[in-house]
This record gives sequence, C-alpha cells and structure tokens, in this order.
Amino acid sequence: MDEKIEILLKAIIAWMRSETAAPTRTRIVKFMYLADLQHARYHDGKTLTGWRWYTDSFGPFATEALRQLDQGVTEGWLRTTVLEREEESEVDRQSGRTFIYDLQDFATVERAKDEAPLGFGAVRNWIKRYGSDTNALLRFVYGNTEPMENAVEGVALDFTTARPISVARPIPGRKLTKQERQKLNDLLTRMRTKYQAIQVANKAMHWGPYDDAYYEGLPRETETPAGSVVLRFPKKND
Amino acid sequence: MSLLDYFGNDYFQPLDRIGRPELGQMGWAPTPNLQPQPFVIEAERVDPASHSEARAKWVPLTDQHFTRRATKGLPILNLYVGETEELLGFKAKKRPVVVVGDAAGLLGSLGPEAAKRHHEEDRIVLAPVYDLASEDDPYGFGSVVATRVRHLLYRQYFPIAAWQETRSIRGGSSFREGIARFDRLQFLLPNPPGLELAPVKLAPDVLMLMHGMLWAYFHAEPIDELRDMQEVLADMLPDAAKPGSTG
Repeated sequence: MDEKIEILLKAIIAWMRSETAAPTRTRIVKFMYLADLQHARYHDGKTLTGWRWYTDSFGPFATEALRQLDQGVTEGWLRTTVLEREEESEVDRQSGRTFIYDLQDFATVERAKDEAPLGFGAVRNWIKRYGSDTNALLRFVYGNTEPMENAVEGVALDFTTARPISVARPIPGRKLTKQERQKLNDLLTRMRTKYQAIQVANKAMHWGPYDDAYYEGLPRETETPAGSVVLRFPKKND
Repeated sequence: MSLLDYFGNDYFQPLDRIGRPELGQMGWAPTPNLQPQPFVIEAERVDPASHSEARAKWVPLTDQHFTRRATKGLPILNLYVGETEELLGFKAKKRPVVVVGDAAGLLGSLGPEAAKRHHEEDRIVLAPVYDLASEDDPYGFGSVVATRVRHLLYRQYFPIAAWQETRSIRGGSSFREGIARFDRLQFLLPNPPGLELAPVKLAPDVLMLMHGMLWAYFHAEPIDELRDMQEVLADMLPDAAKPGSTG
C-alpha cells in the first residue's frame, strides 16, 4: 500500500474526530475524493491516490477506497465500531452497513494530525463544514467539484478538468495624491447638487392617473399552479 | 486607490430598523442563474384520458418553443400552458442584493386607492451582488475584473464593499465584498417570500454614484462629474489590471 495514501486517510479520520464527526464509510470516501480533487487541481489533473473514481448512486466512489479501509482493519491500524444512532445509519446508505472507522486511540489521532500531508487545508475546512452532515457533503461534492460536472453514472470521473482555485486578491494600487482627493471631493459635491436636481425633476414629471381605467386595463398574467413533477434522466443508451 | 478605498468605512449607513425597502438598502433575495440557453419544462398527460397526472421533460429551449407546434399534446387542466406559452425552469441562489429602484419613492405617494387596489407599481428594483472568487466560490469575479470594477470601468457593474455588522440588531447581516450586477436586475414586490432586508444601506454619496452608473447603463447621458471621477479612478488603475497586462 502506498504510504502517502495511508497517511492521508489517517489524517482525514483524525480531522473528522477533531470535529466530532462520525467517520462513516461514505463520508471518508467523499473526503478522500475531495483530497484527490484538491491534489489534481494543483498537479495537472493527477490524483494522489491514482484510484479509479466513478459515480454511483451516492456520488464519487472508488472500490480501492473500500479496499484501503478493509486493509486498515486487517492490519490493525483501523478499528470499526457499529454506529447505533439511527439517523447516522440512515445517511450512510452507501455501505449498507453502519460502521464507523476509527484510529486506535487518542495518541494515534494526534499523531495522524501531526503527520498530515501539506496541501490539504481545504479538505480540513470541508470536514469542519460538512463532516457531520452527509447530505450537505454530498450536495457539495455534486455541485462544487469539476469532475462531477458532466459525470455519467458508472463512467470513470475525469480529473483533468480540475483547475486551481483562483482567489480574487486585491491588486494594490498607488494612493491618491492630496490634489486628486480634493478633486474627487469637489466632484462629489457638485454631483450631489445635480443628483438632487434630477430627483426633483423626476418627481415633478406628470404621470398618468391610477384610476379605474388603469386598473381595469392592466394585462392579466395567469399564475403557475403548484404540483409535482417527476424528472426522469435517461441513461446514455436509452 | 479605488472607490472602496476612497470611501473607506463610509461606504454604508446603518439603519435603526427594517421597514419599507429603501434605496440603497442591502438584503438577500433568490436570484435566478440566467443561462444563455434556458430550460423549458415540457409537460404531457401520463394518461391521455386523465388530468390527474402529468409527466415533464426538462429540455433546452429551442426556436420550436413558444410556437403553435403540433407536438404540444393535450391540454392539462391545472397546468394549462397556452399555445404560445412555456414553463421555464432554472436554478436560483439566494444572493446579497441592493435596492436600486423604488418606484413609489420616485413617483411619490400613489394614494390610498392604489394601496387598496393593486401593488404592481409598487415593485422595487434589486441588483444582485455576486461574490469575488474565493476558496468557497471559485466561480466568482476574478482579481483583475474586480479591480477594474472598483475603478468604475464597467457600466453594468458597481462595486459593493464588505460590511461587517457589529450591532446586536434584528436582521443584522454581514456581507463580503462583491459586485452589483445591473445586467441581472430583478423587479419584486417589496416583501415577497424569500426577500430578507438588512438594516444597512449604501451611504448617500455611494448610492448617488451607483445611480449615476445605472443611468449610464440605461443610455442616459452620464453626469459630467461622474465621468470626471471615472477618469481620475481609471488613471489610478494598478498596472496589473490594465488591459493587456494579464497576458
């Protein structure tokens, strides 16, 4: 097993524990997907794991992720606990089982956080935000990640569409000179006078009356009734 | 130095309470994602002999829509879509908004009769405010265009500074810096479902400049002072935001 993947997986579980989020299989797999996406964004579309991600009924999935979790259990650095809370088992439908995956103890959690790979701060933030809400996590994954944009169920996801996130940072400019500031102040003062004059002139316009003829002559727009609509999305070969 | 820097902390004016929408007031409203090609929801009866159920297809709008086409099928009683009508479907998102028009305020009182009869002419005009690109929203406005907007270089956009609410006040909201879009104006009743007003509005001078830009967007003659002001600001545009500097 690739050591980098193991370290990342441990870090994700440790971060989830720090946020008191239950590390269910679905959540871990989605955060591994987000980590791979984040890696791809800054490494020309190359994922960290190299797993074959595709979309199933609950979004991005890779069988290698399950193998990794099983391997962790077999090798003893992961332990599983049956999750008893009903609502959690409800949201972890993907696994069909209600396991959570934990590191062995508090010290291991702390060590996993210390050893967390660099470049995954965004994943940590997403864990803070979505770690305890699987439905919100899935909505984020479906709606905010490039490989999911034109995903077809069962077909491998394309990470080459991942693009670095470009944040709009302020572009510094020079300061106003005293004269320029004074000029802007003067312009604003003069503009105020004109603006007020325009408002007065606008209000002084004579518009038509709001009388019976007006109200009776307004066009009628029919309202759209409420109801249920079922949208069926055909598969590629339908 | 941009418009935001020039006004500094005086970009907004706090309000004591939320009443009727005021010009320049900030808020939040559902804002449609206007795609170049909208979607039409084509409905047809599930059972040709029954009105009770319809199935719908969500399809891209084509020139065949809004026409008397033969394929429209049987009418559906509760969802009657006329021969040249269609149902449109689009996604929408709740965004910050700024009130740019208040017809009643401009027209003066419509009188008690108008209040009783019809509110159609009472509509307010809102410009939605779109985010700048961030970790959370990588699809927002980029650095260069945002900088140019801060220097009033695009008539369809107006910069909106960040507002941090520090009071403990009902409806108090904070806003990140964004850009008001006149090309996405909405005309709403003053209190429709989904609209939340915030107890803060643009400062009078900022509102005046925004109106000056909006009028220019609608082909009115620009106020001379606005034009001069834009020249000063344009002159201060950082080199990295000048045309041709982004490669």
